[in-house]
Amino acid sequence: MTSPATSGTPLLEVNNLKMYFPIQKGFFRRTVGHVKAVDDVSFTIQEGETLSLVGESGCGKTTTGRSILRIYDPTDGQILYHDENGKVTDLQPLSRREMQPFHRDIRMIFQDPQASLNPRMPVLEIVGECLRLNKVAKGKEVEERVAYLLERVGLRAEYMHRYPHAFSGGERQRIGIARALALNPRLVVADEAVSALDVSVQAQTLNVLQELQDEFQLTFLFIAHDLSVVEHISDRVAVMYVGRLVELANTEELFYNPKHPYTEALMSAVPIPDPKQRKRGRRIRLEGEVADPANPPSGCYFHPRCRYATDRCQSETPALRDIGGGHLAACHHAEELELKGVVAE
Amino acid sequence: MPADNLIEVKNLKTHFFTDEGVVKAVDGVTLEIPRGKTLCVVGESGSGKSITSRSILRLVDTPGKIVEGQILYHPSSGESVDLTSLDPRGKDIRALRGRDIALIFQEPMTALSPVHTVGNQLVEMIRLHLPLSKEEAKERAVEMLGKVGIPKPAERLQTYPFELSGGMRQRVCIAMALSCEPKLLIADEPTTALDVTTQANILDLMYDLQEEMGMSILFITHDLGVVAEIADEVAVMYLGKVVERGDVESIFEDPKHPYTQALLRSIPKLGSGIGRKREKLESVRGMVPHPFDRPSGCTFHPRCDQAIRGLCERVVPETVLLGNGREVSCLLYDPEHKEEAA
Repeated sequence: MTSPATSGTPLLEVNNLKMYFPIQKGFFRRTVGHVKAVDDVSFTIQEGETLSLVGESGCGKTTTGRSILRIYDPTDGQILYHDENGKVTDLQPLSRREMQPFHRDIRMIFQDPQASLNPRMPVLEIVGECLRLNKVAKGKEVEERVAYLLERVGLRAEYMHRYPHAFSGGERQRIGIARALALNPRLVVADEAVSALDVSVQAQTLNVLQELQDEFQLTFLFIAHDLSVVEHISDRVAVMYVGRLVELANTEELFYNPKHPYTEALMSAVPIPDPKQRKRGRRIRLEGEVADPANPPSGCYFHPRCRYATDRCQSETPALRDIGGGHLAACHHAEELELKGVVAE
Repeated sequence: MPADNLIEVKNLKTHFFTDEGVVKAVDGVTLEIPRGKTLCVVGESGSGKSITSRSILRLVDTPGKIVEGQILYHPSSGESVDLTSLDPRGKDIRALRGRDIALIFQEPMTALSPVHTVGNQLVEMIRLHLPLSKEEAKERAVEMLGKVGIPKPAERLQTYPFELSGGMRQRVCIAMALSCEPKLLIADEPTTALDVTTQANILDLMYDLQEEMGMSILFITHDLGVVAEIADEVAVMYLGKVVERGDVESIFEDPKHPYTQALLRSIPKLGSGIGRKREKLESVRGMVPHPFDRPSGCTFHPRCDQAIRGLCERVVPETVLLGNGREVSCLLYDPEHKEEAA
């Protein structure tokens, strides 16, 4: 059992992270604007906790995860990584070569296990490659380590000579997890790690992730759009909308007591697996579409779809601020609004 | 009561004859789609739910073939037709497809042509089935786009699918499917690729359109939350068979089949996890077996916690009627085996 509030040592601090993708036009590829995929995002991940990033597609949650791993080169901001000896390094300006040692500590699990495993490599290679490249193990040791890892994620060690096509979706995702864990990482960025899986397999995979977290004291940045999964697995949850954080709080606090209208709408949209609670009519219908990150609306990005928007929301951009007890929300009216959270059974 | 049903599927078997062997994708499915109501077919991937729906439209690709069974279509006027007896490329089924029975897919981008405008695609579809002039068809297209909640429908006729968001594309697909006022709408995972907020809007839309137009919906999904929102009747499929059927409330309240029970336990429910975090989710053991490697007897027995040793791996369960329209295929409820079970 890890309690995020008490352990309190930050593992990763993201400060004012920005990732702008240029929009180029014309023969000379002139830059005519930017897609602000991630726009001034700050959060801290504590050691041993699971922080979830949620939001609709296009909100920048995946880009945030990928920027932390430096798959993208962030435009601006700090990514402060605290290593085991307490040394703090900013990952943002590092070159690819300088990044390499940190890739042992920060690993990623991808959404699509079909696309993220090389179909021409047997599992032994897929999981063992990083061991050899990082000179952690060689020869027979690689095989032993891979066998151990496969068993930890619930696969038979004999399967290591098979190719990915011989596995089902759930098994492939376990291979992806084994690969992410091969180098004893400290932080695992799981990008929609269970979204592509069937319900029964999804439950198994979530259980595996939690067991592994307890066993190896892993820290997770869990990127997902399924709120019921997020509620189940996270210690804290951050909600993103059009490249910005709009709310960040402890799971319980966020789900029971949301302070941003977007969070409220997001939760009310989740179908409840109980036909007696059909919510037709009670549900908040979000009109319109997610704003275009290349051409966002003025003021609060959410105001065109917000039920509670006032004149102030159109002109003034709300800052993400603490509204008590570490609950962060970016809404001018966070204190006045009485928003409905999840109703407990 | 056959009069209430639009479609009756009787003991349908659709098999795929591959080089490696026969895949029994649908293996004896019996279900009814009631007129003006929604039947949800739930199951994990590989359960045969999509192939069942494609069999109804006779859209099963080679090497797949319907080897047995009947699909009876009862139009409100005229004679009943057995769809399995029609030539899959023939005139008769093509007159039904899109006209009486329409289909919407999971991924709206692949369902729409990327090189034709939304308007052209809609008009083509409408004129194929309805005796309307180009202008009339265009008007109808605009009316349909408005009906599915697309803003400025007249302008949208000129757009290409890539200019629209996922939710808007799915609305275009729904508009196209409903433009000829079909009797049955088959929706194959129509909201799976969409965000929750968009999903909620699309589900509301389908519900409203059903109220208005009175079509039946065959809704295929793996998401039990969606089932609870939209279904009237539910059929749970596992490995090509329907293992349980009933109305939505009784299925959720009192699931009979061990598979349905396990499925319902394995979904994390919003609001119930609070305070119980870190507790393990209950999951179904193991995974869906490979199609070439179907277990003997009841196909669910290797994953079933209530399996009776010496019985379930031997005997293929028959469908047991439980009254109130409930049906279950499980030996635990079979009176013949009651003594052995006890």
